[in-house]
Amino acid sequence: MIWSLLYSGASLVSDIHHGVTVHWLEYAYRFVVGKSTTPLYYIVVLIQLTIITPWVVNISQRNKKISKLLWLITPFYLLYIYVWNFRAGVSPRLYETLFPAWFGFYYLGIKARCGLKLKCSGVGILIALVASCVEALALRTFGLSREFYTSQITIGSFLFSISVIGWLLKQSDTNTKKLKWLEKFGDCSYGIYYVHMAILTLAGKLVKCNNWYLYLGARFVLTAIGSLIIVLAGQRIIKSKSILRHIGFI
Amino acid sequence: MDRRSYWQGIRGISILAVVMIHALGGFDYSTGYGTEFIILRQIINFSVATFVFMSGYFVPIEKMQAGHFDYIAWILNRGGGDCASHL
Repeated sequence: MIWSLLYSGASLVSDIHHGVTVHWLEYAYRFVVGKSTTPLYYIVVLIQLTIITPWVVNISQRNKKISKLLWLITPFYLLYIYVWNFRAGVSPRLYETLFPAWFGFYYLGIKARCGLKLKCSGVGILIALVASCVEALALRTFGLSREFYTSQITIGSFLFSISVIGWLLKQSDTNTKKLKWLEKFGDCSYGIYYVHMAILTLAGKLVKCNNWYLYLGARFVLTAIGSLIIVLAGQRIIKSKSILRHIGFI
Repeated sequence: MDRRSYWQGIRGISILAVVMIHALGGFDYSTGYGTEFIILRQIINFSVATFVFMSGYFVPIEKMQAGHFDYIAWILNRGGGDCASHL
C-alpha cells in the first residue's frame, strides 16, 4: 500500500504538471488495485492468494474431489483470456489483478511441498520454449495485440514456466554451485521489485538509442544495479527493522 | 549448498528477469527487432510464475495444520516470517 500510494502520488503530480484533467476516483482505483505501476499487480495477486491460502491447504489435504477441481481454475481462466482476446482484440482490463491467472502455480507450489513430484530435463525446457515462441509468433500472425502474444499469461508461457519449475525442483536435489551475487539479488528481490520501475523511468531518460541490444542492455544493467544499490543503501540508512519490513527492504 | 541459498539464488534470477521484462518496454518496435523481442520475452516469461510457485512452495503447511495457527498474523506478516523458517 505504501508503494502504491507513492507511485499513485507521483503519477498524480506528473498529470497535474502536464495539465491533464484529474479524475480522483480513477486515482483511488489505481491506488487500491496497484495500477499506478505495472509490477504492483503481482502484490495485489499475492495478497489475494495469501488470504485464501489456509482454505486451499485445508481443502487440498482433506477433500480429494475439490482438490482435483482446483487444478482447473487457471486453465479455465486462461480459456477466458483467449476467448476475450480473440473477440475483443485486446486483453481484459483486470486480467492481471485477479488471482485465478496465477493460482495454478501457487497450488503447484503447495502440492510440491506436500510431495508432488515434478521434474523436467533441459531438453524438456527447450521444447517448451520453442512451443512458446511458435505460439507467440502465430498469435502475432493472427493479428492479436502485442500485449497478449508476449504476455506471461498464455498457454505457451505457462508450459515453459512449468518446465522451468520442474527443472529447478530437480536441480534443488543435486545443485552444489553457489552464486553469492545472485543470492544478494534474491535477498533484496522484494525491495528491487518495488523500486525498479522508478529507477527504470530515470534510466529511460538517460538511454536514447536505436540499437535494440544496446538500448535493452543499458536500461537493464542501469536499472538492476541501481535498484540493488538503493535497497542496500536503504538497509544501511534506515535502522528500524519495522520500517524496512514495511517498505519491503528486508 | 543449503536450500536457502539455492532458492534465494532462484529469486535473484527471477527478479532480474522481471527487471528485463520491464526494460524491454519503451522501444519503438516499428523500426524492427520484433521477432528478437518475442523470443527474449518468451525466455524470461518464467519469472512471475516462478515467484508465485515459490510463494506456494514455502507456505508453512505444517503450522497451518496444527491447531494454533493464527490467521490474522499470517495475513499481516504476508507469510514472510513463517515461510522463511521453512527454507
